[in-house]
Amino acid sequence: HSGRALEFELHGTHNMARAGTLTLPHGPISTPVFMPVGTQGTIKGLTTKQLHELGPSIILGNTYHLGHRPGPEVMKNVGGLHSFMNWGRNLLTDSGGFQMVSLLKLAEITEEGVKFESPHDGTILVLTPEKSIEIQNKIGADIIMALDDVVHSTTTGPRLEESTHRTIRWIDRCIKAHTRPHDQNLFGIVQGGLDPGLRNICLDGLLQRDLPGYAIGGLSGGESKDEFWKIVFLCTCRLPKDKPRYLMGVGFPVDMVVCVALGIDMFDCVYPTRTARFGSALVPSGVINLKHNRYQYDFTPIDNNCTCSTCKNYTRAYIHTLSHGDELGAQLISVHNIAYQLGLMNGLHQSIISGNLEEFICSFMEQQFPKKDYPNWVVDALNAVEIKLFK
Amino acid sequence: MQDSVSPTFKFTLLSTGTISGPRCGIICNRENEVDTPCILVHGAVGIPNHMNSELLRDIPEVRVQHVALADVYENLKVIEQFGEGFKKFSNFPNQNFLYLGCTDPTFFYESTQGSVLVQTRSGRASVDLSEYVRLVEAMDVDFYSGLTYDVTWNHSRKRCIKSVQLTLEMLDELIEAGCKNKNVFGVIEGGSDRKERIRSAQETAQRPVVGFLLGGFGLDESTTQRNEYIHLVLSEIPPDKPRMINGVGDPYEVLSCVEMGIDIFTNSFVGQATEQGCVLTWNLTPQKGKIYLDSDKIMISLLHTKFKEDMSPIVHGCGCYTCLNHTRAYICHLLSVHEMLGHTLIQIHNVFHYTAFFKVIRENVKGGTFEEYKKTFFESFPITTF
Ligand SMILES: [Zn+2]
Ligand SMILES: [Zn+2]
Repeated sequence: HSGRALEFELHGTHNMARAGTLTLPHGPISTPVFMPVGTQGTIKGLTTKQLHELGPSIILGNTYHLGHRPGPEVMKNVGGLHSFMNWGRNLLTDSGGFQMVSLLKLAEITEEGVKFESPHDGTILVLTPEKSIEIQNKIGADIIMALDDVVHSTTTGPRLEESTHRTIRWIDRCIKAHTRPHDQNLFGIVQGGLDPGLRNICLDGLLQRDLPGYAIGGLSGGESKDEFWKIVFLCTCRLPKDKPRYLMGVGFPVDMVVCVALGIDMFDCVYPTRTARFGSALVPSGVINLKHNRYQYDFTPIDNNCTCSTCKNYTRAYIHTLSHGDELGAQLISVHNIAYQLGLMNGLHQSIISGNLEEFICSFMEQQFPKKDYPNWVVDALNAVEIKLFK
Repeated sequence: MQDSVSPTFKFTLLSTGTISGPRCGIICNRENEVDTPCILVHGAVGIPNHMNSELLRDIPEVRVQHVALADVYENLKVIEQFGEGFKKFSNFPNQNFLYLGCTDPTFFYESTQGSVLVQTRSGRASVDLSEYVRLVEAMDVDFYSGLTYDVTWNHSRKRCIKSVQLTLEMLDELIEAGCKNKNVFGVIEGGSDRKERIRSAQETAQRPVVGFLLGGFGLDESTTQRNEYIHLVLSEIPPDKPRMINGVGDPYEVLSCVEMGIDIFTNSFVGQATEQGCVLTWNLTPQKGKIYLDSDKIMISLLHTKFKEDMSPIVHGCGCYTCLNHTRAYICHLLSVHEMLGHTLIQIHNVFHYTAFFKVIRENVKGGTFEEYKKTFFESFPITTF
């Protein structure tokens, strides 16, 4: 380890798409990467051993939740989240702002920070950029996120303008407050809603700060897919080639494949574990729901070609017997779904390096849409990076 | 269906035990052996709740898995069609024994006249004897209990007589049904009626059963009553067959039952501790005269905030996955935020600890030191602190 907290090496590209290795204090990460979400210091129901066997090299923790319980002081006293949850690989924490705005009814954003009413005792507290970084410094993740002024993705007008400029003002407060740049990487978040002009202003501001990596925020919140991919593309065209790009909160397989083609390196989403709790398993053809009666006598694994421990050891019929809200069923499907996401990223990584990305994506999309009724936005987005689904 | 060869079942008493006191034995099927006294682990699908079969594999002392009728009844046709037995279907460790029990250690259901009622996930169902036979065969269990008609301890003599009568009738029907698997444990019922308990024991002993299940315990009887009735029943059944008890599980009860000659336990003790956020902490080998501190109590609740920065394992020196990898602080956090992993981690420890307790018991019986062990245990951990 060279003493820098982050190194990013590209092994191959295909138009905008990149395959690389991101090296952080807790080891190397092959990109593109999917990061499972462990909100409260655990991936729902999985032991760290199961997680190790699954193999993600980075997972997420949520600052809002961990800052609330067990709290920053406990976090500091137990030596940070790595030690607390006995996780030897990399961690990323968010700033806490997004969760606050989405979870707390009374949250209000002022220049000082995110003002909110304590869910315990009703007192008014403020999560400032300084406070967010202080908590994240105590949690000790390898990547920490700047506090940004989050607005709903379809917000327009003066409020959106304000949020864009404030996000830039807050990044300086975050940088100033950050006490561990030697072993924690502060990523800035590009805001600006669906307005290309504002996105560019935010990009200008953040790129001047020369941060170790950049995230694209404010998407995946109800905007049209057409608007979504265009903003992603706008950002990836401008973000530096030698730094990792993280698209926050995006995790549907089709979306990730398109966004990798557009130049994204990192994703996170609760989708694979959340959908598992409803009995849904991710397969090359899309999603199957194991609660459905058609699987009652199906003695094949979820996916014949999957090497995860669930597919090696259990049949669809067995999981179906557990599907009445049983946590074992959810756990078995979660293992598979995370394995699916990691496998998909690995497939993209390999195909970029070997120059087969276009074939890989065409075959992926054909399995997802056997009638070739591809959504227009997928066709358009891939066309923009010269990947043709129709020959 | 697989080529059904009847599973074998052999129980051998070790000579070091005594006929009417604590004893050690070995249960064999075709390939494997299990030492007694032992505990059957139970959970909604034959795996302790919050665990999976991979986690169970890491606990070497877990050797017999108890599946309750209520939890598999609905899946009879699926298991039949699968055709390779329940162990394979559920990915249970191959060397483990599989026991199918008519009663569920977690719940008590009183059956109505002439039928066995079970609470399945989609509601109550009345189990037909032929369905039970099909289940035993399709699951390819190593041994199973007869169908029973349980009564609580405050029932009239009339109900007690009926409970014995129906349980015997169902056992006869089961034997006559020609199930390929003959490894049935006869269930001794009779509630609080001494005469009926004796009759039930004597009559069951005359049937071709491979072992006995002492039914109707762990309900509303007192400890004195329980011990009296266990003695009463055990003196009526042949000593060369294994005796199982359902519903009795705290360490004091276990030691008392082993002392009386019980070989196999099935209960919800561990599961209940885990649900309450409690971890089993008693010293497995207490030393005479040593004062055990608060932290060496039978169990402690990790829900308590005093553990929130406690970076020690649940039990120092414990070899379970949880204690080797995680701290009280982390578990306390997981429990307080209602994350599943909290219960998973304490369940792993609890099952490990409890099964290790049985190993220590066997060692003491074999070494002839059981009485001393039991005495030291009761002195070290007075019941009042439990
Ligand atoms: Zn799988
Ligand atoms: Zn332990």
